[in-house]
Amino acid sequence: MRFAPLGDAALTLTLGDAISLDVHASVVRAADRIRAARLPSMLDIVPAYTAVTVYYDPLRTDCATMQHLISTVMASEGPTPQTIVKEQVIPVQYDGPDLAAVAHETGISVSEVVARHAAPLYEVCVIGFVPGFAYLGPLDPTLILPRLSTPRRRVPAGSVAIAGCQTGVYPFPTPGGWRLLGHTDVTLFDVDRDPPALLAAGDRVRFEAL
Amino acid sequence: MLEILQAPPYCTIQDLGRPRARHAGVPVGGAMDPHALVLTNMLAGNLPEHAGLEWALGGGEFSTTRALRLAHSSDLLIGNTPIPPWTTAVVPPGTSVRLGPPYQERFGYLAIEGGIEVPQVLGSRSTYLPAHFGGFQGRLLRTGDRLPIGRPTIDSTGPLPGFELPAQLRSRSSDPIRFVSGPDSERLPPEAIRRFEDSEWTLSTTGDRMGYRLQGEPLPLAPSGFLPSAPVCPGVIQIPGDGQPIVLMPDGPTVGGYTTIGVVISVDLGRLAQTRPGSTIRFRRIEVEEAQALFRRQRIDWHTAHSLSKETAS
Repeated sequence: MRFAPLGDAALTLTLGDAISLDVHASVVRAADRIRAARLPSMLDIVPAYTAVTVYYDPLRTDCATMQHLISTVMASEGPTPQTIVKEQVIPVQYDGPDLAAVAHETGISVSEVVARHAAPLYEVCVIGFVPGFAYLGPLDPTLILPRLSTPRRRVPAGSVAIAGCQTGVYPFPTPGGWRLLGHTDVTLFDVDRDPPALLAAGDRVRFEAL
Repeated sequence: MLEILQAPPYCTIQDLGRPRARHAGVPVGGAMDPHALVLTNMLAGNLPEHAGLEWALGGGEFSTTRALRLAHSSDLLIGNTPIPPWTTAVVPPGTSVRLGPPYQERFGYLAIEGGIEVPQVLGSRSTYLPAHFGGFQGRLLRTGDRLPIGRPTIDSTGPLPGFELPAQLRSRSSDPIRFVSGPDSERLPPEAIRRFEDSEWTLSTTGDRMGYRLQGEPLPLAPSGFLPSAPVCPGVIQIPGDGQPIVLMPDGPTVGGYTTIGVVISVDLGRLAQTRPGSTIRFRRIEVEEAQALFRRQRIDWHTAHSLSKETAS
């Protein structure tokens, strides 16, 4: 466990060096614990693969105090607050423009690509890149491929895509280099919804082939 | 109501952003130069949080349906009367107001008493273009748009027309941009930070509200190895594979996968944002305690501007 200031209004707590489900679980637990402490100067908390960042108001506290408060919370006895792990099913039309190429490059059939992508119960590791974008993992090892060498200028909203050991759904039309396997009509992010993002770090997701 | 007769380039509605939505992947956003927005707000008789207009490089024109107190950071013509920047002015209804381009800077700001009262989205009126929300219909302002103006604040006794902000509050130093190191600086070769500080960097022309690129002698890279994406914030200085740093700006992503050599301090990010493409800049490392003391001092300056404007209140 090590602390490092992220500028003058945030503090990052790193809990491991390599991506693993164990490290991520400890990151999510740490975020739950810190969130439950309701530190008045904390503005937001963002868990990622190996680190959790606490954003705070430097008018109300300073870096050393914040580090002390978080250390105290982390060292305190008592059970980690129980948060409900949400499970989302996302229906997918597997008709993406890269589906055939993925089948070709991995040496398995299109229907096998679909089956292997839709089989796992994925963990939401990080929310970021654009609002509501969830980095999901781990992907079936046979589907691990690098990003496209030339990213697309515009990936349509709802595209279900893979890159490396990750998979995800594009909430908005953005440029992107992930390989598109299909699309969903589920809205990943809506400012008029509370909370606006469908998924949160620590949730589980299963894709359902239509 | 404020009617845009000729939209300035890249004109958006901005306030101080949404600092509590990052967990959903929503950047803080807000004014590229918060100090300039807040000072114009003070001059218009507003609170720091009121939403105003931000635009880039060029100028524009608008008119109003009722008398309005306003303030701006560039040249302004009310009818045919020139109004110097950083002064309070009152516009009679139906008069055209012409905004000049920002002075030697990149972004201009206009504050109107009562603020631009578009609906709040996730706690802010700031426009976030990549996801088309906030501001006016989540987009750049266009000629013909009509913007709602809020009521003046309850204790509003705004400054008199002609009130000018003291020069020391609005002066901008040309000293190096200050940053604090970390959180990945230990992954970089020891000379990386020294080289970053010793070098002169040129601001690339491709910068926008999401990030600015710096061009110069490439920095030495971290030993190759996968770095898991981690949370970032505006001001983060990332070193991608070509060794040419990228500084994340208010609309930049909330997580990033490049090595972070340091973070530009909050009070200097607006100064960097205002630096024109092609200009050269330098960076200087300070400790986080000093950065936070400077942060608090800037708030005192805002308070001072507020008190001074009240003393001349109408």
